[in-house]
Amino acid sequence: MRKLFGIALAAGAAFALGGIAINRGEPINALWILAAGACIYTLGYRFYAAWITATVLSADATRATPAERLDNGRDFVPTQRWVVFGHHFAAIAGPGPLIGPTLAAQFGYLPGTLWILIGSVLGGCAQDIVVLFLSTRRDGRTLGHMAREELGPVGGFASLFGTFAIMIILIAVLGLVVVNAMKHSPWATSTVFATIPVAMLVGFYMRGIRPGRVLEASLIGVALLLFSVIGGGWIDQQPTLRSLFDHEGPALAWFVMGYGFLAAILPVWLLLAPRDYLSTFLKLGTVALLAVAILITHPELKLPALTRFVDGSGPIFAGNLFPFVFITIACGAISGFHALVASGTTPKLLKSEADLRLVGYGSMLLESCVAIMAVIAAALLDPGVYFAINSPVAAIGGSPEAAVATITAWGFPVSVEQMHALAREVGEKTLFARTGGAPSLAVGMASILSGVFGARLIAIWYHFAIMFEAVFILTTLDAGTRVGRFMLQDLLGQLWRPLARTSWYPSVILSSGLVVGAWGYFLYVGVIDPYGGINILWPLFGIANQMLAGIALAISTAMLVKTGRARFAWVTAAPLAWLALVTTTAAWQKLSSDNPKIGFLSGASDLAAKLAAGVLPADKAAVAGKLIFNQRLDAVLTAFFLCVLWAVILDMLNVAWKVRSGAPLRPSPEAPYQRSRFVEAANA
Amino acid sequence: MPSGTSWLARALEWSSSGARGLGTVLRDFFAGAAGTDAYRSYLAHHRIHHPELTPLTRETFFRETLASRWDGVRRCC
Repeated sequence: MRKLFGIALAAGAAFALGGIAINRGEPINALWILAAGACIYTLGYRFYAAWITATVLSADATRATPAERLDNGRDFVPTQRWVVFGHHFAAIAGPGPLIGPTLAAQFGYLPGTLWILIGSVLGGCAQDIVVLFLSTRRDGRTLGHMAREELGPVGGFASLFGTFAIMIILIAVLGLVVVNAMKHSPWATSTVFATIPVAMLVGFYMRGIRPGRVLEASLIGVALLLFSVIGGGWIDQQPTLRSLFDHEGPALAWFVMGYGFLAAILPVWLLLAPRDYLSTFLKLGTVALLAVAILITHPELKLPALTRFVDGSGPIFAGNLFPFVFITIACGAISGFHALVASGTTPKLLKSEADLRLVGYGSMLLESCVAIMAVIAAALLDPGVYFAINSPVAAIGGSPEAAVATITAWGFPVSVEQMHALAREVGEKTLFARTGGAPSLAVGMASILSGVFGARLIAIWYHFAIMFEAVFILTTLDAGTRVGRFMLQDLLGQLWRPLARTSWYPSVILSSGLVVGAWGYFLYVGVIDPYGGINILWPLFGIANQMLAGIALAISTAMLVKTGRARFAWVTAAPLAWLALVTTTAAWQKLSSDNPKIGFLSGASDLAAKLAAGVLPADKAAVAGKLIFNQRLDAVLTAFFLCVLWAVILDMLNVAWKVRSGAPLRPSPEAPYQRSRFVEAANA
Repeated sequence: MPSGTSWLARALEWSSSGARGLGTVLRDFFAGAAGTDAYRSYLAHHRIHHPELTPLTRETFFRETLASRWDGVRRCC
C-alpha cells in the first residue's frame, strides 16, 4: 500500500514536471508548479523524512525530551506538536524566502522552482531535522555550544563568529529592502512608521492596562496595523501630510538605523516583544490567506521558464545560473539560520521525539512552500513589468522612456503607459527601478489577493503586502541587533570584565552602537550605490547564509559519525558537499572574476580607473570613493567566510578520521535515556 | 416544531458547534505558536508540579519571563 502510494506520488510529480517541461514555449498555469510541489513534498515527508527519523536518527518516542525532563513551565514546556510546528515555522520563516526567489526569477521561474523543491526536501529539511534532533538529545544546547563540545574550539569559534557576521549582513540587506520600498512612497512610509507606535501601544497595554493579556493585546494591534494601511492611503491624498513622509533613501536609512539602535537599548516589553507577537500573527495569517488565494485564482505564469539572463548578464544581479541561483535563494531551499532556531527555543518545547518529523522536517517544507508562492507571485507579472520594477536605474536608464526601450530590447515588451497605470492602481508615484524585491512581490501578492477579493482593493492589498514585509523585516532587524549586542558584549567582556554586564548602560550603548554602526555602514553604502546595492549585498548575504548552513551541516555530520551513524552520514554530508561546491564557486567568482559586475575586486579597480580618468558624472564621482572601499571590504569578508567554512569542514573531517582510526575523541554529552511519562500515560 | 425546522435547527446547531470547535482549535494553535498562552501553560505546570505553592500572578509572570525570551536568536531571515 505504502509502495503504491509512493509510486502514485512519484508519477504525479513526474507528470506535473513533465507538464511544465512540455509547455515551455507558452505560459503555464501555477497549478502545475503547485502539483509538482505537493507531490515532491509528500514524497519527501512520507518516505525520506520517515526514513531519517526511524533509521538514521533512531528517534525514540519512549525517550523523555528535555521539555519533559527539565519542565519549568517557562522555557522548557512540553507542547502539543502542531503548536510547536507553528512556533517553529513562525521562527524560521522571515522575509528571506519571499525576497530571494523574487530576485532569482530573473533567470526564469524554472531554476528557482527546482532548487526550492529539491534543495528543501534533500537539504534544508534534512539539516533542520538533524540539528533539532541533536539539540533535543543534548538538553536543547545551541549550535555554538554543540560545536565547541563536539568539535573543539575551532568549530565553536567559527559558529559564533559566523553567526555574528551573517547577522550584520542580513540586517543590512533587509534594511536596504525596506528603505527601497519606502523611498518616495508616502503611503508605504507612513504605514511602516505607524507600525512602531502600534507596537509600543500594544506593549503598554500588555504591561500597564491589562497586564499579561497578550492575545487580547495582539489582536488589537493587528486591527490597528490594518487600519494604518488604510490610514496611509488617506495620508497619501493630503498634500501637506504627504510631504512629511516623502523621503530620499539616505534619510530613510538613518531612520532605520535610529530605530535599530533604540530597539536594542529600550526595554524588551516596550517594542521587541509586542512587535514579535504582531509579526507572528500577521505571518501565519497572511501565509494561509495567500495559499488559499493562489489555489482559487491559480494564475497563468507569464515569465518564461528560462530567460536569456542565465548567461550571467542579468540586470538585477550579475552572475551565471550556476552558482548564483543557489546563493540567491538560500531561505526556502536551505538556510543556516534555521540551525540556530532548531537548537534554540524549539528543542525546549518538543514533547516527544515522535514529533521531530513534523516540527523539524515539516516546518521547513512549509517555508519552502512560501518560497514557491513568492516564485509564483513574481512569475505571474508580465516579464517586462517584473524587470522594470526590479532593475536598478544604472541598468535601465533614468527616464521611463529609456527604461522601457532597454527592457523591450531585451525581449520583454513593456510600455510607459502600462507602468504608469499599474503605479496609479497600487497608489505609487512610480514603479520603475524599485529594487529590493519588496515592491515587485507586493504587486504580485496584490494581484493574487485582489483576484479573490475584488480588483477595487488592489491599492490596499499592495500596501498591506508592503506593511507585511516591513513588519517581518523590522522584527528581524530589531531582534537581530539585540542578539548582536549580546554577542558583542560577551566578546568584549573577555577584554574588560564590566563590558559583559548586559544591564550596564555605558556598555549597552557602546555595543549597540557598534552593532548598528556595522550593519548601518553596509546599509548606507547600499542606499547611495547607483546600482541599488542589492546586487552587491544580496550575494554577500547568500554566501554568508550558505556558509552558516555549511557549518551546521559539518557539525551535524561530525556528530552523526561520532555517534555511530557513519553509514548514514551522507544525509548531511551530501548537502554539505553541494553547499561547499556552490559557496566556494560563488565566493571564488566574487573574488577573482574579471567582470566588474561580478567580481568585487575588479569592480573596485574598474571604478577606480574610471574615477581617475574623470569619466564619471559628478554625482557618481562623489560617492565613488566609498563604493571602491566597500567592494574591497566585501572581498575581504567573502574570503573570510570561505576560510571559516573550510576550517569547519576540515575540523569535521579530522573528527571523522579520528573515529575511523580509533583515536581518542571528546566525549559526546548526550543526555542519558529516561523513560517518558507521556508514553506510560498513553499505554495505561 | 415541524420536522423540517428541526432538521434545519439541528444542522445549524451542528455547524455552529463545529465552527466553535474550529475556532478553539485555531485560537489554541495561533496562541501557542505565537507564545501568547505562556501563562496558561505555566499555571498548568505549576498545578501539577508545585501544588503547595502559590503561582506567580499573570503580571509578575509576564514581567519575569519577558526579558529571558528575547535574549537569544528567535527569528530567522
